[in-house]
Formats: sequence, structure tokens, C-alpha cells
Amino acid sequence: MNDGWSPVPGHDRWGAGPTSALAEAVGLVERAIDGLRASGDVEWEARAAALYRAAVAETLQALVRDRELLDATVRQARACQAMSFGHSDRPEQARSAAVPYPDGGRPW
Amino acid sequence: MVSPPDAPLAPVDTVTVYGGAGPSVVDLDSVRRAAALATRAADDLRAAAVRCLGVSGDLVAPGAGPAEATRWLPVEAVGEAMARARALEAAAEEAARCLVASADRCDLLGWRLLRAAGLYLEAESTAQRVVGALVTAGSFGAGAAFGGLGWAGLAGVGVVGGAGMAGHVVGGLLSGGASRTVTGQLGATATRGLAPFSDEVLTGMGSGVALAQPRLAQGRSGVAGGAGVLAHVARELPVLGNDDNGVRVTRIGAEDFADGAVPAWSDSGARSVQEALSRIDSLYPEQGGAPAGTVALQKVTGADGAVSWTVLIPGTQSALPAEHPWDGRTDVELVAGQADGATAAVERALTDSGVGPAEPVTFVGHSLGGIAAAALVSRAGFAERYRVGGLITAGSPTGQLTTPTGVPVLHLETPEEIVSHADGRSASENPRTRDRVTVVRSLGDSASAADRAASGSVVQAHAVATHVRTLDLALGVGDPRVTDVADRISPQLDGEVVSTTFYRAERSGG
Repeated sequence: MNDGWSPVPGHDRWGAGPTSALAEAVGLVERAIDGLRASGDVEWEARAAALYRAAVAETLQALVRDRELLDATVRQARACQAMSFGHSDRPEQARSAAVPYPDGGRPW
Repeated sequence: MVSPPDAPLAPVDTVTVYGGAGPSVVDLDSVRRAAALATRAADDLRAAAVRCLGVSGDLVAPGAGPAEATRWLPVEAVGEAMARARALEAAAEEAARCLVASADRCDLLGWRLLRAAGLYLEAESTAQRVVGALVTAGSFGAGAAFGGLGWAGLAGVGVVGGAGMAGHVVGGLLSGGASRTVTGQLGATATRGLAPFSDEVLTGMGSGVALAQPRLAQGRSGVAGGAGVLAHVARELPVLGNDDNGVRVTRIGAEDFADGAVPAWSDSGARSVQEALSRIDSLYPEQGGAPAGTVALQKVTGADGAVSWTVLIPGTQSALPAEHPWDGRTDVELVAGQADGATAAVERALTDSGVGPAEPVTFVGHSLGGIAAAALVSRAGFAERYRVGGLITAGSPTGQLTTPTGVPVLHLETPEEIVSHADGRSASENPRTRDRVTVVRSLGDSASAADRAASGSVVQAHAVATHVRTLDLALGVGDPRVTDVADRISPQLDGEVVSTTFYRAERSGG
């Protein structure tokens, strides 16, 4: 469980930049979506469980919208960073901007 | 066990259910797993929000603020870079806000699921227990002091006690006399402050009175003993009424109602337990124009010819002993477990209507009517003479009564009405069985303006409409314990052919 404040293993903020932090956020949202989807599989015949499943489905839709918002923010960060590093003579930063996701990138 | 979200809560989240048939062990395991997954999802979303907020420090160059980062930029690009950085910061903050909102939603879903399965925190805090003990002790002293004063003191407790149980009168006392604004505010504050400890106040007061007058309490302690003393006073003191023990019951018609017509629902069955309960308002003189002391017996014949009955019993209509048994005297007699006029009147109405021993009878009572109904079905021998199909009480102190096994029972209470604690028991202390469910709603915790207003008024908190709303909410969340009881009662309330007989009860010598 992540409390949101603990250091993320392997995360080098100086070297990675804002797109990396946002990429981590996207990963966490993906995991939340998977977890909440699994939560909706509650095996209980009560009407309360049916209502719960409906509410979970509704919340999942909201989470998908959250992720889209986050994706847009990542694109914005990449553009922002590219502009900065387009003028920068620091090659490590340029690499960081070109590879926003350390795990190989995520299509969006 | 989990704690509820912080107040103010959505009205649907102010409902707590006790008793009833809970989920199986297998179901509970699945519920716990699902709720844990929802909580973990909430944690992940909050962690994601933190990542988003952390972006602002790394906007233009990792680890550096905009000023540091723009050091690398040509002068003509600094302005645009700063503008983009601010836009990105705003977007990241918006994303974080959305993620936190979704996290809260996930937490709420998990909590609601656990609550629907009966897995919630219900233990009183240490502070509440300490205050409760102090309140009990304090009110015990007050009760003993009143009792020690003899008849005059007991009469005073009688008035206070009768008024307390007749919420309508309490509201009137609190809002009458001096400045309505001042007393209204004081009343609201007192109601909200007293609500959590009203059971302790009444337990202490009742115990004190019983201890001071052991002979009149007939050896009983607590609220029942105190109520026994007060019931005796109500019968014996001329200023508080008369000593009539007899009750006369007569059929009444449209001409006996204030507007010359019986309630519109007289020839139609109730389609739900909520509808049955809401009909009781029609039996109050000030709301439905019925004569004081009116009860209704509705006969329903199904398509298969099966007959069932619904008995609607309203609450207290006079805090002081009156010419009908819907008064404060009956209140204390019922709490004391003594013979009373209201149950006698309902029994006579059942006999007059010709209710058969195999025909299920559902009793629906508000306030005094609920105590009377519960007392009747709990009485030895009653379940042998009549087939009790169900019992619904709203705002009634019924925790000391034992209802028959197999009879679906639904109690509706709010702590702010105080009346339902008149037996010295809070809703959580009501007997909990597979058949017996108590739904309690804390109006003061609600985000709804109407609920908040009702939480400061005994009259509104105790109103039939408030209890109907509670039942609506409890059924709306799909709590299986509530739906089970409601589903067992509902089919008996409606049918093909419906007729209603109204009875007026009056005290008469004998």
C-alpha cells in the first residue's frame, strides 16, 4: 500500500522530471482501476451488493476520465519540458524529456 | 470494523441497522475483500494525486523551480516557458483534485458495503460512556429528589415524563412562552445535545423515582419501576385525570371526521410498508381530522380469497390523562408494563372486526401506538389468538418487550426524537434477532437542511414523515436485513378487495 508520501523506489526526481512523476501517477491510477474493478466482483446476493456493483461501475467511469485528464497533463508536461530542453545544453535532461516513461512508454 | 465518513453525511449514510438476518460467513468474507480492494484503490489514487502535486516543483527543469530552469533559456523564450509552466501546474492540480475526489468516493463505497453487511463501528467512545454514566447518576439524583417530595414531586415528574414521551408537547413547551427565537434556539441546542444521552437521562430518572417510592414501583427498578410510580400517580391524582380503567370502543364514519370524509386510502391497500406507516398521520386529529383516540383496521382480501389485516395505531394525543387512552397516562402504563387503555381498545377493535385466528394481522404504530402494538403482540396468549403477520413501530420505546419468534418486526428510531429512548434503551440496545430489525437515523449528522432542522426539534424528529423517510433511505441502500423484513410484511398489506373500519376509543368507568 502506498501512502502517497513515501519515496518511490527507483525514482530519481532530478533525473526524471515532471513527466516521470506524472507517469507514476498514471501507473497508480491504472492499479486503482484494476483494484476497484476486482472489488466489483463481490459475491453477495443482497441488493446492496448489486447497488455496490453499479456504484463501482460508475466510479470506474469517473476514474477513466481521471486518467484521460492525467494523460492530457502528461502531454502538456512533455510539451513544456521539450520546449525547455529544446533550448537546453544539458543532454541528460533532453533524454529525460524524450523518454517520459522509464518502463518503455505508454500509449495515450 | 470501520468508522463512518466524517459528518456531515449524505442522508443515506446516516442510517444504521441493528438485528435481522445478516450475511453468511462466505458472503462476509467476500464483502470484506471487496471493501479492502476499494480502500486500496483509494490509497493508490491519493498517492497519484500527491505525484501530480509534486510536479509543480519540477515544471521546467527537474529539481529546479521556474527561475532556475529559465536560466537555460534564451530571454525571448522565458515568458512563454513560464506561461506553459503555470498552465501545467494548474492542470496537475486539477488532476490531483479529481483523483482525491475519486479516492473519497472509493472509500465511501467500501464503507457503505461494510455497513450494509452489518460491519461497522458501533461501540460508544470512552468519552461517551463517561458522560453517559455521569448523566445517569445526575438524573438518578433528580429522580430520587422528585420522588422524595411525595405526591407533589411525583406529579412534577409525571408532567415532565408524560411530556417527554409526548414529543408534540415537548416541542410546544420549548417554543412557547418567552421569545420564540431564544427558546427555539435553546430547544434545538438542548435536543441535539441531549439526544445521545437521553436513554441515560431516562434510566437515571426512572431509577431514582423507583428507589424513592419502592412500594409504588412494585419492586421494579429502572425506567419500568419509575414509570409504574408515575402511572399510579396519573390514576390517583384528580388533577391529572381519573381512575377509570374501562375503555369503550365505537365504530365511526365519515361524519365523525372533521372534513366529513374518511381518509382517501380507506378502500385501497398499502403498496409498501412506508405507505402503511405514512397513513397513520391521517389518524391524528390535527392532521387527518380524525376524532381523538381513533385507530384503523383495514381488511384486505387477496385474489385467492386469503384475508389479512392491517391495524394502524397513532401516538400520544394528550400529555396529561384524557378522556381517551391516547394520553400520557397510557404512555407510562405501557412503559411500566401495566394494564392500559390503548391495547384494550385495539383488542376490542380486533374482536369487533371479526379477525380470524388464521388471518395475519400487521400492526403499524407510531409513538404510543408503536409501544401499544409491541406490547400487544408480546403479551402472553395473544399470538395464540391472532396470527401476527408483522409489526412496524416508529418512534416507540420497545426495547424492553420481547416479540414472538418468526414475526417480522421493524423498529424506526432517531436519537433526536428522545421519545424512543423513553424506556432507557438506545436503538442499539433493542433486542436483535433474525426477525427483529431496528433502523436508526442520526438526523444531526445529515448534510440535508431538512434533516438538520429536524435534528433540533423533537416534534419534527418524531414526526411520522421523518420515520417514513428513514425507512425509504434504509430500503434504498438495499440493506438485506431491512429488505428482508419489509418483503415479508408488504404482501399482507394489499389485495383485491379492501375495506377499512375506524374505531374511536374513550375511557369509561368499569
